[in-house]
Amino acid sequence: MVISSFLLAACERVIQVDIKDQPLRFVVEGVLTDDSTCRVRLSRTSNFYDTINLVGVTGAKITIAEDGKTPVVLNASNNRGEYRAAFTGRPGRTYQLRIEYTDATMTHVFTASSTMPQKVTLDSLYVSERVFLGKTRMMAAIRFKDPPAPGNAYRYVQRVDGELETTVFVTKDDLINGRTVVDELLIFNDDYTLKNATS
Amino acid sequence: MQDRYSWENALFATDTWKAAPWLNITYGARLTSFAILGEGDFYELDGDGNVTDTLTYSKGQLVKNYVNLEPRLAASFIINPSSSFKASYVRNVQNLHLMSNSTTGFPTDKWLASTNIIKPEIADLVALGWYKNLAGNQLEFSTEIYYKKMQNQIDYRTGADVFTNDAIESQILFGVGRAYGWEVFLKKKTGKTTGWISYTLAKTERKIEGINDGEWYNARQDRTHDVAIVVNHQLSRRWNLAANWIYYTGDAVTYPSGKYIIDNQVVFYYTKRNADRMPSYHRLDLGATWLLKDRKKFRSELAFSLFNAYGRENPYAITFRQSEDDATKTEAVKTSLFRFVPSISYNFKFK
Repeated sequence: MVISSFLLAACERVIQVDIKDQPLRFVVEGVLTDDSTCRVRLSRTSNFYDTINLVGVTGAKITIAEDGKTPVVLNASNNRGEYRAAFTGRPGRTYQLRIEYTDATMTHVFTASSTMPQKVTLDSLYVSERVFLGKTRMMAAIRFKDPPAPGNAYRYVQRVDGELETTVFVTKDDLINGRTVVDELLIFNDDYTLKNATS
Repeated sequence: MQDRYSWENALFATDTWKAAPWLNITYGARLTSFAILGEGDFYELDGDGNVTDTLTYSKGQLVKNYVNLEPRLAASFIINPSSSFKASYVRNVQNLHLMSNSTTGFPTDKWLASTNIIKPEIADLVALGWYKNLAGNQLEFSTEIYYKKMQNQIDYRTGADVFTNDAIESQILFGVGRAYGWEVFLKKKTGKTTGWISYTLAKTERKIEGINDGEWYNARQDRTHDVAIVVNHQLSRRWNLAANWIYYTGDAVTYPSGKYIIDNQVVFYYTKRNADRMPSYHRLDLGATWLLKDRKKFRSELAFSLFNAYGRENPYAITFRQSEDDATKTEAVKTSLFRFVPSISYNFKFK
């Protein structure tokens, strides 16, 4: 027979960790849509203990071209590394992005190519309820049919009461290719409770 | 994740041969068969880990059978009545694979069974040891060195999706591993004060194409130093005191190297896998046992113990986040469990 008494406690504490500074790298965020958004943001990474601040890179030459046609120049729209052009993407076409930037030591050239996929329409969008860890949670659910060709990827951006919810929802079609699927946007973040969701 | 079904069979034979009065040789082998059965979906992948085909097996259908032989050989040389030297070789085949996350967050270890893609891990271990009794058999001393060569090691791809992907094989890379080390051990077996001290110096690494430029890197479990000291003292007929202290190097983990902003969110970026260390772990535990009654038919005692006597805040996890107090900063947060855990137990034993 054993009778025991325990005192348990967990504690959380901010600590200083040794993180070696790494050479800063460039970050490219490009958005091209079929409803006249064409925007590139060029910035740099910062060290772990630096103040959070978007380190925009200005003075870069950025162009976009559709299927090898004459490139269109994106002009700086502010001094925080954002560049824009009056340019619209079309599904099925391939776009080449080219960035040239000269700093004190050398010229950096970045290129990327991407094909705009065909539009996938939503069959339905609704709110479903699930019991999760003993609590009933509401979730946005999306029903759609994946196109027959493989290689599609999806991303959902969710707003809760107009506020951007930070969970990243991405999925590929390699296990669902060509099928009708329902994706439920389960939020693990306790800061948001889903009451009325729009996606 | 899907449930997996398998059926393992093994045959084992071993024999000891006294080759000479000073030489014992033990040899044997184990033959294992690991059959992977349905039901379930199994995958075929291309070189980039993309699923090219999904094969659906019905209940009880054979997917793949791995047959492996594990030979073993050990020689023990008796130098004199108080000392001996041992050399051994053993091959081990493992069909359950531990997948450890390399981040510093809350541990998410997963055990995976071998599949058509995840092959059995094969380890060849060679060890040499010297054993000696000292001070008229009051002390026992041993020291060993070992080297282990491992095949079919697995680790996550960089940026693997570990939570939602059913085809876990598509998130894994395969390579080789090695582990080597030196152990020393001293034990006092008799007298009022008994106990032991052990120390291990070790290295465990992996080499996987696609991780850290295909160079050797630390496995999460790599533990450079490992020390244990255990002491037991019989103070009087009624009082017995015990103490143990352990120390080991923290796990090899990956801290963020920096951060960037994308889509108006702060994201950490990582460079070398497992190139950082959790803080080292150490702890002292104390105990005292008070004998209440020792009768013919029963024995009762009261045991007092104090776990983590000096209240070391050993980290359970380190998480990195945007500071709650100052949103312009990112910070590291250590979570630790169990500082000073006292306990009292009453033990009662029938004889």
